[in-house]
Amino acid sequence: MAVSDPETPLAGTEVSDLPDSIEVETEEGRRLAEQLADRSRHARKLLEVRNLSTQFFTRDGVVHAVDEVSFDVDYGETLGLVGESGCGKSVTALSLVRLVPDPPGQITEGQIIFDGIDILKLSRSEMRRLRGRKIGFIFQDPMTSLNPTLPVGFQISESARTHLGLSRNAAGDRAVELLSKVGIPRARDRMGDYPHQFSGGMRQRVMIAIALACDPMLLLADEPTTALDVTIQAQILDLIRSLSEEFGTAVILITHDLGIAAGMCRRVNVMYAGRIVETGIVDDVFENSRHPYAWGLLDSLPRITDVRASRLRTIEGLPPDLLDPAVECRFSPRCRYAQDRCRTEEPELTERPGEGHQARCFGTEPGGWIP
Amino acid sequence: MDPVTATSTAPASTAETNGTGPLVRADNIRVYFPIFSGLLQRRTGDVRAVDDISFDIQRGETLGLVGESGCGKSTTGRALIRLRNLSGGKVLFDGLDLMSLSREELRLTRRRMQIIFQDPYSSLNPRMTVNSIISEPLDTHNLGSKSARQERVAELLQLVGLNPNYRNRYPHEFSGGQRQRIGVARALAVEPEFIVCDEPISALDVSIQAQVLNLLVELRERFGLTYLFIAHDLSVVRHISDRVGVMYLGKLVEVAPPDLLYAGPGHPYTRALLSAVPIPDPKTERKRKRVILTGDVPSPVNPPPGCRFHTRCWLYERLGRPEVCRTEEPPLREVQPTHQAACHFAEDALRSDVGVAHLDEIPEPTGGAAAAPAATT
Repeated sequence: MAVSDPETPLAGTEVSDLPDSIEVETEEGRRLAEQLADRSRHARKLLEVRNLSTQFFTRDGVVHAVDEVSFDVDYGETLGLVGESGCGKSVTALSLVRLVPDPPGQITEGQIIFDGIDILKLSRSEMRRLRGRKIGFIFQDPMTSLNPTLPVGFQISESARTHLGLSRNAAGDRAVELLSKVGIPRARDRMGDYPHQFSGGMRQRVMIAIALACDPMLLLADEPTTALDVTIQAQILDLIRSLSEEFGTAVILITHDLGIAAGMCRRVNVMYAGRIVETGIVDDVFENSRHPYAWGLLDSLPRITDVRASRLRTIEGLPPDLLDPAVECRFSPRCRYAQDRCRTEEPELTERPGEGHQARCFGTEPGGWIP
Repeated sequence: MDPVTATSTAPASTAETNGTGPLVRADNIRVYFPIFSGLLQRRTGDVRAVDDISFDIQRGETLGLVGESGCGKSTTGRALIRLRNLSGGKVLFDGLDLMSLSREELRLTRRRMQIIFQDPYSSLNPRMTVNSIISEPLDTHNLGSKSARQERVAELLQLVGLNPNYRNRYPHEFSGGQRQRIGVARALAVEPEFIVCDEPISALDVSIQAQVLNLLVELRERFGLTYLFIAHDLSVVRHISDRVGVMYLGKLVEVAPPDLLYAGPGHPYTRALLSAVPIPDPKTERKRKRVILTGDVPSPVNPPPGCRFHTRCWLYERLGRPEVCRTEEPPLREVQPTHQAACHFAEDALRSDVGVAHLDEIPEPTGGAAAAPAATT
């Protein structure tokens, strides 16, 4: 976690040569411009998200994809965002970097403070600066997120050239170094290769190299291994883990695989129907879950330690429609413990035993009816 | 459960189809896909998707087949019901050699075997109603009168947990889990004995996976079905299988009952696979030792000589790269009763502690012999 070190850990970069080309358009933008050159901390937390709501305005109505979500990320920390498809985990990540497709999507409410900067106040071009320089992305499908018509070397050095102001040669050297860092053999020879010449795992390594090209403070990994085989998945997760330790990069890991969250994250947010329903350090959430959805999900997993053909416990029914959701606990239609109160009132996230452990459930509140 | 079979033609039978012996037997099967290249489009090589593998599936048994993408597990499944033609070897279904049946005999035999596909979105025709999707196999096999078919569709929908009133809807009106139920109903329509489940739950969300998996177990018990259950998820396979086969690069490298396989695998690849499976338990995850396999799976066009796994094998490295791994292909052999592995050093693999971090929670395997190797090293 050597984050206070202002020097980038990779060679080939003279960040101080950075042309101060950012046009300042807003007050936040001026502060951003002052900060861009270094990697020191400018706030107590790397990321503070407060009451973030993102909605999609569709023909059928307003979809509340992310609804009043609040959480923090510490410098250098790995946070998991878990949930099933449609729970809002990816939209949350896109909102953090203001990449929600607009229209129809819009961040309607909330505050996102990244390293002390309120990013919702930045202009578009200032946001672009921040994104490339301080936040890296890895998406699920490396084939569709890499440009098939450009050599990978170009794609990696591109962001180093734009954001760090490196010369073509210096950026090329940095790209070679990054490629070998992410475990691609004969990196220099492969600079001119196109994405289709790499296997799935190798492409994901290229994506990671691009994400790390500017030595970001935060890495957003949206289902980074879902398209990969287990042995390759283990390689990529191992790589993300060791690189984030080496560079002190914080990671937000979005996954539907609870096993991956258990192995990679210190803290985890469980999302359901656009809301965080439980949050805490992984040990508390996995071993002493205080939300029926979270433990239902854990119970429904077949385990490698299982005995054969025991009946799996299931969560009956389907997640709710997020078009104008009713005022109720959103999990109540599928919850076997639900009582009348759950159907007329929505619970808040409240404290549970354990460090920062919170759950959104009346039944598990002190004095609740769920043991 | 039997309103339509009355009018059906009796399945083709020979002297061997007497209801004894394994239901499905794969005998040295090979499936090669030719590669044509150059100006003259000459055959320059083959993708050896399935390369000389043999196994049996007993009546009422579920054989799980695991492996990574491209290992040939789906091709094997399709070859068993002759959706792929074999390049070599034999598939015997209840004693019938599928490759030598006539068209008509094959059609009749196909009634006894069905498949459930992975992707519930692309495996249902979007322009057909649920009713016509499920009754299509009945039409093909000419089972029952029109009204009997209608009744049968309603019954099947109920059986898989869907409301029979939904019969006139189209696939897009259903969620992924519901579509997969439609796929299951279609497979069950002709009352098959054998169903190839080709990654039937991989495309579904976690909470829905459990629902469909439970349904498959229920149906198996109710109708005495025999499954070949293909998956890449080792925990799912353990849950449903009586025996598990592990494939790597077109070869079957290990076969064993799950209790033996998961407690003490005899092939280094299986151990590496097990160690790579994320376990939803933070404490286990922290203490486990992982073998991270380096590199990618080699190309099945040009598989490595000797043991196909030696290019990525951790045991090979540990044993000081023995020559035999590079030169001689290890046969699938019995390493302990009911447990087969294809590794020259299976005994060493059995004694290793790699990939069994989950063991603490495992109930003592009943096999006896399997408990020993886990404790050593």
